[in-house]
Amino acid sequence: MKASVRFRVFLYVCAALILIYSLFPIYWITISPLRGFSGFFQDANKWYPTGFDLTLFRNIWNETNYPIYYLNSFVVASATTLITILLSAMMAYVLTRFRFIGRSLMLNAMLIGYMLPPLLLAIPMLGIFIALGIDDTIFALTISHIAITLPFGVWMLVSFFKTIPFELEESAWVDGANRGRSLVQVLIPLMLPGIISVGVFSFIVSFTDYTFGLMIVSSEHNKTIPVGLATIKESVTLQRGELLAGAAMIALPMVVLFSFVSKYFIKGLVAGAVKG
Amino acid sequence: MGSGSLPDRDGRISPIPIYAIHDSCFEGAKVIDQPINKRDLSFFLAFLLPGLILFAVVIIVPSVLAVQYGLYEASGFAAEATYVGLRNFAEILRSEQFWKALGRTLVYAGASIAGQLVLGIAIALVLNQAFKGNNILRGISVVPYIIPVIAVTIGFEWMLDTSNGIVNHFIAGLGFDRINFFKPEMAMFTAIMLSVWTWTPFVALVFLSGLQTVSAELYESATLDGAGAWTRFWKITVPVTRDIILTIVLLRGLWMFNKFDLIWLLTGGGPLGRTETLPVLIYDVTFKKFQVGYGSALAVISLIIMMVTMAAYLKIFSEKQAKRKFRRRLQRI
Repeated sequence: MKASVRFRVFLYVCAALILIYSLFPIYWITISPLRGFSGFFQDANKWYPTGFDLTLFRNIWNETNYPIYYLNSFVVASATTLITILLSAMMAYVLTRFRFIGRSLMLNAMLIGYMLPPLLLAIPMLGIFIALGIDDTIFALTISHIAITLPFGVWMLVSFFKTIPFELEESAWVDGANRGRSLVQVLIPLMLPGIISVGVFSFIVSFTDYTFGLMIVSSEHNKTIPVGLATIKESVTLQRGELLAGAAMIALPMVVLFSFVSKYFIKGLVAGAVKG
Repeated sequence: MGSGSLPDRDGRISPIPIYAIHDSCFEGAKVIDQPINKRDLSFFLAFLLPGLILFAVVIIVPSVLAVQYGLYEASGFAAEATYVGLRNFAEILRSEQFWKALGRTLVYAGASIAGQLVLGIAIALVLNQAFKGNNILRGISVVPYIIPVIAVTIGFEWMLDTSNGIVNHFIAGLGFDRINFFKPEMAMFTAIMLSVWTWTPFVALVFLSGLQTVSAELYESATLDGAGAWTRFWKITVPVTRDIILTIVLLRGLWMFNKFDLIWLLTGGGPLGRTETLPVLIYDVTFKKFQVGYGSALAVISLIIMMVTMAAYLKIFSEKQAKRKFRRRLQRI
């Protein structure tokens, strides 16, 4: 009995350590800029929040293109998510419901494509975008993000579609539904968890991407937050406090949004392959 | 979503070793595929082609072009390119900078995978126990993984700051000298530390899903036999989750080898080139020096190195497994 109590104490200490490990940096990024100009350096050694001054947050929002970056990030991430969900669900359906030559080849190509280094793809991709005259646009950036999210989405949804018995669909056909209708009314509702997982994954990948953004967009009005914030970091006009405010303004919304969908993200992660 | 009769419609997917997927993809699945008949053909094409075309544009064409670019010399993306054959490749293999960068990449990838593995497994072992708040903690433990790398580097640069950072305040409080985490001798260590922090949740959660497949009875009978926690971990947990560990190492190895953003944002390859890994070198050559052909050739070479390493890794470990099975069979006879 005594050993068991000791074990429980040990367990809760470990749990607390995991909590600190996971959240302390976020906590610190948030409370430091909240100390405002005067407290930022002065109170830098205090463990607890010492102020609620939004000046630094307001500064980065008003004095840089931060709002534009924010908007771009949401547009790109949303577009990537929608396109990925739509195309990967369609492909996964075809790949699991039909027998045809080249099916395994396609699946394997997806898997290999998923493992290719981003830089290897980004260099020629930029060449293609320049040739097409769409370099330095958020449209091109969206397409480049799909290079990561589409193969993952197809794999993930193929494994989902396989778990849904064909009989279900067949009985819908017997009842007079055609392929399209049985897909929408029978399969999609069953697939919803998988589709949400792919969506959450795509959104996070696209929203946090720095590598493709850095290479593909260069004008201020096309930059996403990671690229824009890195630009601000290199410029000397702003102080450290503002930079941290900027970091907090991207990290916190991610954590809040994520808290609603963590279940689906973990599922995708465990399914074998969230890139990171 | 309502409740249905399908047991696994919630999509509980068991973790599949990624290198095994392509063989087993259609094994065991209920037969759900059928030949395409004429009526379905337009449906089939309408569903397959958009994704396939996009896939070709973003993956297949760029991969082929990368190799082609490597055979040319061009001073920019819009500049005239001259065919130089394999000269770029030969030059790379002769350059000291390449070999040094390769060495740093292996150090960076190796050390950060080791850190992620040890820490991730430890976290998973804790999360696998039953305690109040377990589910919430699982969600929270993923947080480092979803924070954009730019926020990670800005945050840690502040936390690790020599004079104002909370970490150095703590170190000084313990009576040690303050550490400059960004000096040349420390930069690689710092980059590895940040990489471990950010990407450990992947290992933790994937390993956790593997732990859940280990039956409790095994542990119980081992405990009755007097095996301690340490023995149980090495004799039961590790062998049972072996495939998952192999997969984790493979995937993390792949991604850490190619990791560009964290090092670039943290140090830009400096100070004094101490953190210049292959991806950083590729970026620097291609986008700062505008040697597009040389940069592409570098990217191709690093891909080849990665693939050879991966193949060797898989060969070594799957052979070991085969040998072990063989030996066990022998013993039975």
